[in-house]
Amino acid sequence: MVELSDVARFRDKMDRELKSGLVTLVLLLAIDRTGPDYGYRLLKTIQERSGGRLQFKEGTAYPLLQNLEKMGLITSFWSDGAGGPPRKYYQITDTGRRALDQALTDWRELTDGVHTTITSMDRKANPP
Amino acid sequence: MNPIIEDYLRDVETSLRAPPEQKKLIVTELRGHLQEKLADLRAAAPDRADDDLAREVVRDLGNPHDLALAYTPEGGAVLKNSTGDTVLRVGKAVGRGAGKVLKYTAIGLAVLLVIGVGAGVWAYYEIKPLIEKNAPYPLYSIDPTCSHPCNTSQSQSFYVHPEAREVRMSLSAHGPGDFDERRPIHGTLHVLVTAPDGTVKYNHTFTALRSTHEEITWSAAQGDWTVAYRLESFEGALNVDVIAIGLPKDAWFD
Repeated sequence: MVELSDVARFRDKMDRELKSGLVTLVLLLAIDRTGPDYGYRLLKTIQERSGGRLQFKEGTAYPLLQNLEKMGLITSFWSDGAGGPPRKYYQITDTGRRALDQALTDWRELTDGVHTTITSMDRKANPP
Repeated sequence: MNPIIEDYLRDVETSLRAPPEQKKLIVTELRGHLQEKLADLRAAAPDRADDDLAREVVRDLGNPHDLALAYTPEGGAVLKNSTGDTVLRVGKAVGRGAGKVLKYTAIGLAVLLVIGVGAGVWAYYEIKPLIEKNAPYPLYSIDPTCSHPCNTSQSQSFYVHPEAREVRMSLSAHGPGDFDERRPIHGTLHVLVTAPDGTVKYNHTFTALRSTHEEITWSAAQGDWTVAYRLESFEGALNVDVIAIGLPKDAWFD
């Protein structure tokens, strides 16, 4: 019999593994659709647009943005906020847009495949 | 600026492995994030204490060491994709297979390695005495923690060798509690450092601050130096390390 703690541990592991690639995809998407914008506002946009369902550790976003910049998928520039501290704005590059389009196609195929598999193996539709 | 946020950013900066300019830019970006989130939380909950909100803000950004580490992840693939592409392109350009390109590259690297090892051995014997002379020699260390009010006075001394050039003291003090629950120092902590001729080199009273870190360098004066502490209802932690620079290795064991 599976203990509740094992279920929680499995759920935690799944959550981490699923989100690890997803955060990058969603960040790139947000930069493309709402950018140029800075980190905090990008995170707020993602949270709002997902209806609060996509919440990841804020600290993971900034190193990922740095990584996307190193890969040439986004560029950045600094701009002084109105009376506030300087902000680092991110914007997508042409390569980034192509990579995003491809990643979104892959994502849709993946989710469709997973959905189809789950549906076809549904316990109610296929009783043992 | 909120001291909890500044402490957090200092911890991130210390843990970052990047050139100073890049560190500064990373910290500036994170400071902007923390400030704006703090302002948002303040607007949403004007009754909550500022320190309470600041603690929430830094907690949401995560452990400062983990965050710094994420900027410079360890490890990686042995052969990056870009390196593999380069090997194939070079192979195509010189009309050889990738295997041959790798073979000649390996031979080239081996030659460079031999030259490097030779230069290293030479440098070791040339530079070794210099390195030894500049190696830090620990003189004194103390790290008391008072989780309940401490009331005590004590005086300790350390000897500085005649050949030492510099004496360096690293002093950290912080209030009780873990990082994100840290409270200000309670009571007072007084530190007094005196050189062998009686000159006061350092004289400071710490009170009510969350944390501090100081690095002080003095030219060395031979003889017995004294460090005196006076703790009055003090709650917190202190760490003092003193090192000498410039001792030849044989003097270490005098």
